[in-house]
Amino acid sequence: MVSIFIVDDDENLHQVYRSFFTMKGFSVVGSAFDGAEAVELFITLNPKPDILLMDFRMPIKDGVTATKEIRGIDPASKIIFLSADETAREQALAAGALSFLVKPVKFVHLLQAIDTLLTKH
Amino acid sequence: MEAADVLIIGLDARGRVTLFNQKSEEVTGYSRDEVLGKSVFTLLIPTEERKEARQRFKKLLVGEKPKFAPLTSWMTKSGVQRFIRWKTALFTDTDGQIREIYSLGIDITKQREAEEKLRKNEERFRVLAENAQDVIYLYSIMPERKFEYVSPAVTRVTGYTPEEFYDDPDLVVKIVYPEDLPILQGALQDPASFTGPSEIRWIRKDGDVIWTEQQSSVVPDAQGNLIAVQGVVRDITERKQVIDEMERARNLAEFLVDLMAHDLNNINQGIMSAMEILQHDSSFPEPLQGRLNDALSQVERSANLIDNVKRFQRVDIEPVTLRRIDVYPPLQSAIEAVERNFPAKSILITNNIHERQYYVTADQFLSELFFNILHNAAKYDRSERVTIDVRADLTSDERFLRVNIMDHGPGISDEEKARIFSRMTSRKTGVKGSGMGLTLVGQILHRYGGNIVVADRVDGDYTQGASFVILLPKGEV
Repeated sequence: MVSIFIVDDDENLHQVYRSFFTMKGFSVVGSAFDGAEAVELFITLNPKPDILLMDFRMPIKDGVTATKEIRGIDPASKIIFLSADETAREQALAAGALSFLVKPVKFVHLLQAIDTLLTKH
Repeated sequence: MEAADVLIIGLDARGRVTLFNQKSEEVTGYSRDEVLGKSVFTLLIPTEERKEARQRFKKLLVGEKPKFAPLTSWMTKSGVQRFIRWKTALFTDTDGQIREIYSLGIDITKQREAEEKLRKNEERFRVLAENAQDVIYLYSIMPERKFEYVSPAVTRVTGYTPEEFYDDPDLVVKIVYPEDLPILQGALQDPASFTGPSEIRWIRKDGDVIWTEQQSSVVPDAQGNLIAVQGVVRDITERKQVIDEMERARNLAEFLVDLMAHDLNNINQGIMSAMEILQHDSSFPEPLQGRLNDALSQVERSANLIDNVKRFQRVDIEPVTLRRIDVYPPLQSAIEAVERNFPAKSILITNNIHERQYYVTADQFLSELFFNILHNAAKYDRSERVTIDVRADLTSDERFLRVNIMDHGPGISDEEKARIFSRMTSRKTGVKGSGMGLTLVGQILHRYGGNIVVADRVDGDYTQGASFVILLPKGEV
């Protein structure tokens, strides 16, 4: 079962992502509302999640910084950036994100991105 | 005496002409015969000067010589006034009585006219300087540093009078805004390097800080040594304030658009995801699927609108730096993007342009321009097989590249054609469904100095599809 870790400061999105992934048979193994919480939780997770969905603009620590730190902890971690701010694309990819999708993202595209990461990386 | 280049005239004690040389004849137009024996006062001296001339003559007769060579004017035979500077010699009898007066004169009419012209010019410039809104100054460097001239506008600009600047040559340094002092010191140390316009802040007498724009030039002496600096100082405080206000407003608008776009798209993400879950939920009533799909497409529309607002803002704030661009790559990239955007349709876009065939004067937004027109054409064509033809050629005067984008969609009625690009100026009459795409096209073309017109693909029958004709300024080598 594919395990997902959700990082976004929007609670409503946590709920819809969780519902969708559960419906699709994925396992949501953790969620965080800011980058700092994401890094703290990521350290404790064992095994590590297959996929991390990462927002950009969040309080305390943004998604780019959190991505760098998480990739520092586990260079094999697969992070998909989901942001309404397209200008973050270069920074996110430079920080180690493997994919960047601009919100609003259709689930079909999100599933494609997940599938690509799991099969190619 | 006859060949002399000076006027020579002899007068008896009564002022009658006894000698009149050739030069005098040339200058006055009178022949010697016409003058000899006549009173110089009535014949040659203008009426308004006669009284003074007679008094001067009387003084000469009693031996009182003038301190300066007198200047008189003579009326020529043709009525033209000539100015003569005189040197006089007296010839007396043995008993000391003055018998004759001889005078040598130089015609200085031309010199007088030049002096008068110069005086008038100086007067004109003085009036200009005294009334100018800008401060005009002359600051001498050698032999000592001081203001030679400061126009009265300096009081309006700085609160200090010209006299205060004359009295204290360092006042200019004392009132400069501390941060800008290095600019002024640099200017005083090396005035030759300080000729371009530069902005300096001053502190007015009342304590207000003002912005000024300085334009100066150096004044060399005959040997080329720098002796002074002259220039104009303009108060640009209001202009600066307007620019600052505009910058603040622009930053605020940018911030608000960014905030709105970001937050709305997060909201859109929530709505879209929730609807997609319903779509995948087998318990969702089948008859309502259509409504759900409609709602989803509205969310997509909202996301597209936000995207266009961001693009529009980018075109608006990006500085215009146009260059010569091969039109093929941006067109091709727009065609590929449109083909990708409609996976459910079969899109065929033909064009007659090849690489390095046509160059235009444009920038990075050219692809955006093509994309918006092609995207609209594909979007409004309801058929599953969409055909769009792109044809380009040069206008007859070869100043513009004409790119004609022809679709087979529902077309645009004449009434709609008239207002299709007017959404920005009149939102209420905006063409339904055109979004901001065409307004963006208009905005980009405005950057280029280009133009766009909408026509029917088939003349007279708009239902056969639209034809967007874009004029792009040709790229100069």
